Amino acid sequence: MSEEMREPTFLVLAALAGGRRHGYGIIQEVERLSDGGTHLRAGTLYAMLDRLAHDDLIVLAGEEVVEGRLRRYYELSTKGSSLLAVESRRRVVVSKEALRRLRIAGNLA
Amino acid sequence: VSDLRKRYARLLRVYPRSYREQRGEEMLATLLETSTGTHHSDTRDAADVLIHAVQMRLGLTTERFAGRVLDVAATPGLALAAAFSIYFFVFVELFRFIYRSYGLTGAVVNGRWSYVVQTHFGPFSTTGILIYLGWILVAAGALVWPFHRRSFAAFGVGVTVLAMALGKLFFAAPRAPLMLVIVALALPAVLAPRPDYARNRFGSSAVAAVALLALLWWRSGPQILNEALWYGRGRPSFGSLYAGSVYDLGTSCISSAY
Repeated sequence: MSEEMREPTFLVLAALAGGRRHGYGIIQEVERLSDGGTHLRAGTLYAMLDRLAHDDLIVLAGEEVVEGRLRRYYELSTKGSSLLAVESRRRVVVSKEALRRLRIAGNLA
Repeated sequence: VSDLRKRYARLLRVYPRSYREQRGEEMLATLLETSTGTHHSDTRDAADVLIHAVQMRLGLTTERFAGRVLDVAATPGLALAAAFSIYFFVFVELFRFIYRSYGLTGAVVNGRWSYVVQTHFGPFSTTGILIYLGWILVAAGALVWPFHRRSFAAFGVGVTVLAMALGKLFFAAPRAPLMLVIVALALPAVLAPRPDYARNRFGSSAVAAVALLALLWWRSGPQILNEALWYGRGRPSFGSLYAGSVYDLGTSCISSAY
């Protein structure tokens, strides 16, 4: 998939890069990664998890009951990890180039 | 907290039973964890869940065929709405504006003299001008920022409703059927699931828009231009402006749009 990835999708995949997380854990990690800029709501999160699972980018990684509440954990699949790596490298290349140009133009704060 | 649990459990009943059985407990836990420390349900969380539940019920998710069809049709649909808008903007509002600037105030429509060049909304005939410009901007925006196509489409629907209301109440509005066609073309963009990837729909959108413009032009364009040229020489007629496109598209509504 060479198309540009939507930011919340990228953030959810990035949130799972460090290992398995459950729904609320993903919401917290996305908020932390985006410096509070992206707050996922439950409906949006589960619609996205359904899509990512359907595309084989994430897989179920166990479940447990904590304080009477069901936690289902998700982790990146091999395909999801590769896609996240490709997208991350693409963003790094663009960001580095943007910073280089800003530096040359003397506009880097 | 148990009240909150009950409220969220009630909210989750909007989902289809099969989905609720699969995800219900998990979503309930997430909603409760999200609202930790509060004793009331967040309205925006509830609205977000409702939208997802309705999409599930209507089968409008990317995992389902209808959702994928809507996803593919969304941007070309907006392009078609923009094509209609461009056509009516140029051949109705703009032509009338030009005629008006030459001091002409009427034309023969279907063999009958009508004051078609009357202006009711500034230099233009109706508030339709706002609607046409709105949809042209919406299509351009959705092509450039595909992630936000739903917001753009919703904006277009909002402008259409507002301009129609303004026209009906204070100025003059284009008739509703054409507007319904335009809004219907934008519905896939409103209802389609949010895309994870910005797929380029420029090609299919351009083909759809150009094909529609060509069809409209083929059926009525030359007559309009011919009549425009004849206008100042005592043989004005706007009749065929409507006749051609209606015949082929089967949209009798367009004929009554003005």
